Amino acid sequence: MQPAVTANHDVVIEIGGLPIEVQTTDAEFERILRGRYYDYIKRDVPSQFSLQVQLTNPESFDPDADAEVWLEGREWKLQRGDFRANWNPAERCGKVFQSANPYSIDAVLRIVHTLMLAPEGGFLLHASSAVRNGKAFVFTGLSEAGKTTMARLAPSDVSILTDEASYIRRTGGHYCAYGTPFAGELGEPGKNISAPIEAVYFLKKAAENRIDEIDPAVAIQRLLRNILFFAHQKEMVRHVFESACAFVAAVPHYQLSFFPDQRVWELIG
Amino acid sequence: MDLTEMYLTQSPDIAARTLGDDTVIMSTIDSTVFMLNSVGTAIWKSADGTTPLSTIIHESVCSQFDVTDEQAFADAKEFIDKLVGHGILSISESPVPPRQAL
Repeated sequence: MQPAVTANHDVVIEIGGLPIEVQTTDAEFERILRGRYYDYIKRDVPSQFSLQVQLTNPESFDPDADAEVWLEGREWKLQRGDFRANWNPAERCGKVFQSANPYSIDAVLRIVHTLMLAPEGGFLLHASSAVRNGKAFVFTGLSEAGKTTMARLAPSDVSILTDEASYIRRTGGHYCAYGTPFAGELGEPGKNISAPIEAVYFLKKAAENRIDEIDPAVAIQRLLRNILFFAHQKEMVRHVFESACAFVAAVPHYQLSFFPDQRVWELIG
Repeated sequence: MDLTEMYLTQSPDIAARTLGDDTVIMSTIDSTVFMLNSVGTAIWKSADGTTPLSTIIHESVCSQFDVTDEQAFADAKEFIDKLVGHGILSISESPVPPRQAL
């Protein structure tokens, strides 16, 4: 009698040039992944990173709850009511326990990417970003500052990378922004492209449009408020801080006061 | 507590960067971020554990900024209380020897 064979329904999801193979034996979960990340699914791309997903019943389901992330030995532990996961940076692999839904794996991917980016000086930023004329522009600020508004107002020659979580990666002394599937209120994944970052704008709604220079120390302080990092562990916090300082030193930062109509884009690019 | 002969030491559980006259500090314990202005930066940079606060105030603050010792101490106390409360600075009644490199 032949042993039962469990089919592989693995999917490689590449974000920011970092492909992660999400391993599952569940065809329905594969369908969910392909539906959510379709523009970021890669075929025939070798992946050095993997996440094995074990489908379970969650203790609770609150995708808006904060995730806890902590280091145990050399392995990161990730936990929220709807998932448990671990990630071993040295082994480049991890395991996820969740139900068959896209929100849990989405949160895990965000967290794992922040853990991968931090030692390299990169990070996820609570920001929208877009490419115009081959250059990336990042728009950041607290809730209701206008991140999604900037994305909605973008003219047709602008490609939106994200309206929610900007992916910033450092290569040498240069920084690039990458499209991500992490959608905000716009409800759409970003274009899967990348470009060198020309400028970062801290948003402020105003009666008229203007760009003002800001002090580097103020830029670092504001940037740190908006960097997405979940692991409040000393070494990781230092990485994030140093990354913010290096980023501000390398990329111009401005305050963009704007009236929310399309004319603001006349100042960009 | 008479601050004048106290000694300030920077916490090891922080990340900090001075840019021009300002300093940004992040606690590695709870990720809180602080921004110090020029006066705060002057005090912060002198918080070496061996310089009494009276000397810091007189030489680093009063000599550079147009304030009296009394005003400088009053402002410094508020600033120091805040940073000590968040574990960014520690304060002691005697000098703190420098950390030995391992």
